[in-house]
Amino acid sequence: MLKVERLSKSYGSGKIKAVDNIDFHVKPGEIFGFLGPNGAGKTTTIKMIVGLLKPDSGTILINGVDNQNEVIKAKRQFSYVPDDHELFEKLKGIEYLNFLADVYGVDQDTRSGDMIRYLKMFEMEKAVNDPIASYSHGMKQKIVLIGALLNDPPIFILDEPMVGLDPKSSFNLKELMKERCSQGKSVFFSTHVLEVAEKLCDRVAIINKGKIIAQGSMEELKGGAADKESLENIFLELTE
Amino acid sequence: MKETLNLTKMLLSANFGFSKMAYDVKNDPKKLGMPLLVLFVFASMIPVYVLYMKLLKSIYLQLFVLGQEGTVFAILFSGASIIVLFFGMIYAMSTYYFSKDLDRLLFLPLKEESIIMAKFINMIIYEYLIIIPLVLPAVIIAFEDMGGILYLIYFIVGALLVPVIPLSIGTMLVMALMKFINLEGKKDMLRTISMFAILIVILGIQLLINKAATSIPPGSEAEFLEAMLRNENSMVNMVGKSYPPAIWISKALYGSSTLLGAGNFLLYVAISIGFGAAMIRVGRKFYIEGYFNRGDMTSKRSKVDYNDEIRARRIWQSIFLNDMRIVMRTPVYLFNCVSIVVLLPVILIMMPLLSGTGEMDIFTGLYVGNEKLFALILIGVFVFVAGTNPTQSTTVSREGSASWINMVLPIRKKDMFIGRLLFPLLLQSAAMVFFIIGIYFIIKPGIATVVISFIGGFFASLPVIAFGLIVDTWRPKLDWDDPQKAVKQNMNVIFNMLGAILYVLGVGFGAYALIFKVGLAIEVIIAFIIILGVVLTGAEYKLFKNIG
Repeated sequence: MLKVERLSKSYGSGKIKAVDNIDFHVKPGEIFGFLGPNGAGKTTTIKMIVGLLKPDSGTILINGVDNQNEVIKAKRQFSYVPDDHELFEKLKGIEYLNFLADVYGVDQDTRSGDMIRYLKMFEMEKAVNDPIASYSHGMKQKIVLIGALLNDPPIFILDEPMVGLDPKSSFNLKELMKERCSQGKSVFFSTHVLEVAEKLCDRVAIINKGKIIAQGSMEELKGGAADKESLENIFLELTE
Repeated sequence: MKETLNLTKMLLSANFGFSKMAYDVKNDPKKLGMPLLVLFVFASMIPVYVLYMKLLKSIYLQLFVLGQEGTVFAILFSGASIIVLFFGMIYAMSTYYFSKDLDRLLFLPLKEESIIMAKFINMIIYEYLIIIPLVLPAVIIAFEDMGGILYLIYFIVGALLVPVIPLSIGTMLVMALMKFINLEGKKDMLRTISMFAILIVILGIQLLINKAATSIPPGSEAEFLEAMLRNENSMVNMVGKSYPPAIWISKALYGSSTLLGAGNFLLYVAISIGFGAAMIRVGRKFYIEGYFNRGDMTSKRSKVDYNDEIRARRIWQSIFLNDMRIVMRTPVYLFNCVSIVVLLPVILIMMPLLSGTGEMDIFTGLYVGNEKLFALILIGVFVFVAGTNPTQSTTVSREGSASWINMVLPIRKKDMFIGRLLFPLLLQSAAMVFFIIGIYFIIKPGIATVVISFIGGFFASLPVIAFGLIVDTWRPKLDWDDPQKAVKQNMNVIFNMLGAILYVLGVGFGAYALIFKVGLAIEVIIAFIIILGVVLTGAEYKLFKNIG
């Protein structure tokens, strides 16, 4: 579903290697966690996948579509929730959602049904007719999430999705992730919350200093590390 | 004071982006290109500056013959102060009310006066960029006749204090205005109305000053001349009438070796300090207290009608609507992008008309018998107007940190190009209509002239607007914390304007040669300009498609 091969990216005319020749493969129906300490290269990798950064080398196939050669087609295969929820502050929530649905070509009936469902689920009905500028951090995150769910893409890409969400919304999001995977779609997300990754993910990859230092299912990772108790211990040991 | 200076330094660094620029250049030497380009743009203005110095020297010499050489200071200092007042009010609005940095400063253990003063010094330093080049030549030109250590000290201190009084007045007016209109919920709308009100007040003041400062009562010309020849530097009082501090500093400069000069200098310094202190007091009362009393973020939630609000549109329509909504709902964008459409015709046509000067007769003389040529010239003016509007050259920049949305969405270049062109085109059409209405007050152009100039202006403006869009897509200014910076500190606006000037000059020279050397009919030239506009826009679209 998402195939990343020999992906590299450097900054400062090649002096700083943010992402160094990484490979991973997110399969259909899988929740894939992307872990790593601050500045490890998680967001850079995600930005290359969604088309916000150009890789120096390597390929990214999203549902079989090369995101460098067939840009628009590749962008139709995913929806993205970034870690910072910077939005068009002067638009109303409903205008932002309509805009996304227009771009993805979601028809009137489908968008109507989905919007009402997700607005209710994330308790945003009362706020959706107000300017985004009046939203709290968590509300902005919810409106981005709802927007990303409207086009029902094969792969859902999220950067630190749990930060800022209230417990109920966080629970709902996790349920939605599982629901999508049961339909054969995939979820790829980065997180610092290791407990979430441990409970939710089918497989994880750990990135440190631009390189993938471990990857596999929870069992595989535990099998390869000295301390077999928790993902936290494995993470700390590997990223020392 | 140390606290204020530290804060000033930090705000300056943040506003000018020195630290970020140094980091970028250190990590990627290619990023040095932009600062160098800015330097190049400034360097290209040196010939114009040399011309300005020569003009000033010639004015000084002529005034010297009449024994009125001190008037040059009055002209410069009062002129500079009016410029500061004009831009200062708008700038004060941005510095104190649109910038969000107060949120990040108020919780720090800083004195409120330090915050107000540091922001004020920041504005003063920005004003120096205009004021210093404007007044500096005078010190050199007059040095031979008036020079001396006191003259130099008076000039340096005088020039550095130029922005203080007008900026204090402007800031206090803005703060008072914002205090009284700071009502719940409707802040943005009221801000916009207040900005237009400020501009109308400024234009009104300018109109009155023009009339008061330049007119000699009918029948008293002889007395005026006699008085001027009898008393040395008597014109200083007349020219500085609209702005007394300019009289004080002028008297201090041309009488720098006398006690009267010292007295005037001290008066000028004392009044400047007085205004600065008053501004800080007003700032504490109106600005800081106003911040705590604001209530625009607690507006009541309004219910949504799903049947009405959920509506499918084409992608380009959606992009156009977003673009328009963001501009219309952000006061600073509305002011800079939309107001120009109404104000430019007013400033260019109505102001000279209301001032009662004779420029309009030239306008009428040009039109009669030359209707087609007039339409051609009008097309040129329209293209220039299109180039001066920042709407297209800041379209991506205005999205700032939210620009990721359009970048990750599957939007075809065609939809993006059309969607982003529509709003600037709509504004340009409105600008042309307002311009034609303005002209109608003076010369009553025929319907053919109106139609030809409108259609010609529309198609000739197309490539200029598309050029602005391309420049801003290619190098958007996304890194800002205050929407003002996306428009006011965006070099793309200058590039678009320069592009428009070059285009008008190029097509203008071509048209001149084809009409007067080759003998082609003006109708043919206008048809050619329309075709050229369409072809160039097509070529620009191909270029747009290739921007990553």
